[in-house]
Amino acid sequence: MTKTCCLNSAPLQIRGLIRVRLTAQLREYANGAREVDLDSAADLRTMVSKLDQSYPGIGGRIVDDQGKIRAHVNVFVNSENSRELKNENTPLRDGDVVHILPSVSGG
Amino acid sequence: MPRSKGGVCLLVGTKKGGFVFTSDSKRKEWKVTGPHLKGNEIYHMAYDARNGAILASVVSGHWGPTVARSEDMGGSWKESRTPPRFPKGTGLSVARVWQIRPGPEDHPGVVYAGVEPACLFKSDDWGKSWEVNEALLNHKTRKKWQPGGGGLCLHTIIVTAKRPGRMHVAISAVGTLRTDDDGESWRFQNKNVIVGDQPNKYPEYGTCVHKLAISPSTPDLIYQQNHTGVYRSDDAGDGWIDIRNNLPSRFGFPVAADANDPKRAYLAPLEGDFSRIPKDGHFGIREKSPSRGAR
Repeated sequence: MTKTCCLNSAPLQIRGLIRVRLTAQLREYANGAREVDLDSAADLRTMVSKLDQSYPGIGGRIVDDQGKIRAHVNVFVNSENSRELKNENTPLRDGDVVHILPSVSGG
Repeated sequence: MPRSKGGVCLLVGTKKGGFVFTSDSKRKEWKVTGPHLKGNEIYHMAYDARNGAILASVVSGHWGPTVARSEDMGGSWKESRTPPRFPKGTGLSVARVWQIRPGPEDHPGVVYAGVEPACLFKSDDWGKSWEVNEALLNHKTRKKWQPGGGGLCLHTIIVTAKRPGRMHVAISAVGTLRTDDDGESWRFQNKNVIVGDQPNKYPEYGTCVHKLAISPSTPDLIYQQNHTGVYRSDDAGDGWIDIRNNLPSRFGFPVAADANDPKRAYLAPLEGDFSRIPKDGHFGIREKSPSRGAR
């Protein structure tokens, strides 16, 4: 399967993996990696769990204690915001590219 | 530095990071480092005199709360491997850690954390991992707890090696609780604390405690700054005595007990909840002790 990442102008080809792109704050957990590849995950919840197994602590920054995506964190599956899909229950397919970004918020 | 005789270390948390001020016994010159954990709100910092570590409550507006530790006075930091987190199914999620309290000398590795929404967490490994206190989490009155203006927060934890198994916690706007069995059970201690314009002026709980302070040498003597007054307990919280006396206001937030004189406490009264500035705009340290009288 070939997937095109719409948040990046460069087309991306990956097979049998979920590619996760990390914002700067989360890279500290992943030894500085901008992106990491995970084995297949059924949905975002599973993906976050796998991510946390590989990089302890990162999961709790993305989701709250009850496993819900934090209010000021946006998770995109390819070009779709998971909030417009099924939040943490959004299904994933091999080749999907997931972007984890903080909201443009502050004050 | 606390490890040098007479040295002092002042830990300051701000919305943009934490700062460490140190000085020698003369306190004429201070060294400052920071901001540590830059860009994060540092709700509380604690120095653990047992091993020289600093623990910090870290809150990111985007990425949530955690606890960080430094073993080199802020030179480097490590987040808790397992931060304070409520169990799945409780419907609760930690918003922030309000207070970190190292355990007593004879309990190496034990550290406590008070969080919002109100609960207590314990670490047995110097703050690297945390477990919720089940007794407080499942307290029979929890569903009736209501938050104060700052949130439903457990903001004060008192432990003392002189009373094994005993601990005091304070929750806005719930009140003060004590355990005598190392957190296995908790009972309210709000006797004689008034709540203001409510039908029941002295309820079992629902009092708005702002801070507790214990005398290091006299662990049954506790001071309380409440939303509605200033109190002292001579019996480890079983009953409270109104000690406002000639203070310019009954409202304030901090209270500190003197490190050496158990009969002396320090307060910073404010005009009121409506105006959180010192009375008449004049900041002053209010002191009252039997030996010196009120000043």
